Amino acid sequence: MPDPKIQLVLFLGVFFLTVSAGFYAVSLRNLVHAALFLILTFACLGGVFILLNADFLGAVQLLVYVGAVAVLVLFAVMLTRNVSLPGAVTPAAGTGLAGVVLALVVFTCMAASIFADPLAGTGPAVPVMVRDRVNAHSFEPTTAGFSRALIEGHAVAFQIAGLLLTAALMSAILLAQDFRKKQPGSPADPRTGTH
Amino acid sequence: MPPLSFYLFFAAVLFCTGLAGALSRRNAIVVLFSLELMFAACHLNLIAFWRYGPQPELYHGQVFTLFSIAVSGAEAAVGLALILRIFRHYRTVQVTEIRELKG
Repeated sequence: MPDPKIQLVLFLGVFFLTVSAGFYAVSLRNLVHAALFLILTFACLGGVFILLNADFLGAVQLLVYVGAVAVLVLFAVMLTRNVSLPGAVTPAAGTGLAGVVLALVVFTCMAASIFADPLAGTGPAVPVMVRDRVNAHSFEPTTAGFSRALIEGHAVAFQIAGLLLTAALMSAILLAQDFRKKQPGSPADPRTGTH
Repeated sequence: MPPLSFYLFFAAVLFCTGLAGALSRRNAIVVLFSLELMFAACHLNLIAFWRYGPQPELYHGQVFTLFSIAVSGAEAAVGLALILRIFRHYRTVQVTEIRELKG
């Protein structure tokens, strides 16, 4: 993909798709639709990673988020359906607006600092030689170099990350398990029903 | 390539969408969605800085992003399990309804 115009068009398209999907993911009332828009956001971000020449991480993003986290999120949404409390859905007026205003203020500060920074754009802080090299080797596969850097330089951290994931998933299973069915002598919870 | 500031702006928009959702929504699951959006914006920033940084051939940014993805995956799993637990106990996932420790 050597043409910079095509890259810019791809970037803009995936930008608008991701941002609108993310907006719908946090603003929709229907939780299933919100979860599906969140999955779309993650899939688009995998595309952005690939656009940034991180092809392996794009695949990881698709596998982890669109594959695993999506299933988790959808199951959590389905398992916490509560149709008996229609009054609890409507939020109190005013406090939600304060959060949005605060986020807008933070966004203004971020955007101002991004575009005021000399690193931004084609400013002089990034050396011309580096930019030329990055452009010349655009979209070469990075998996081999990345895995070599991971195993040779960060092997212990890699193992610890695996340990962390194992511990987190085991604790998640432990937390989500329903222990009440294993205690026949305990008094029945009147809220849960008998079936 | 689009300049670095485009990607940083992209990540800022995504992060602030997540921030607004986390601060204004009441449903704990949507708050978790918003946290995931903020995580994703951070990953985008890391990869953009790796790509436009002085030494992209060392892959430090990608390695850091992979560890960050692992941590956020663990966070999502534990968070959703906690929300399931809370739902079973309180019969609601509205964060304003869970206020036993509120003074």
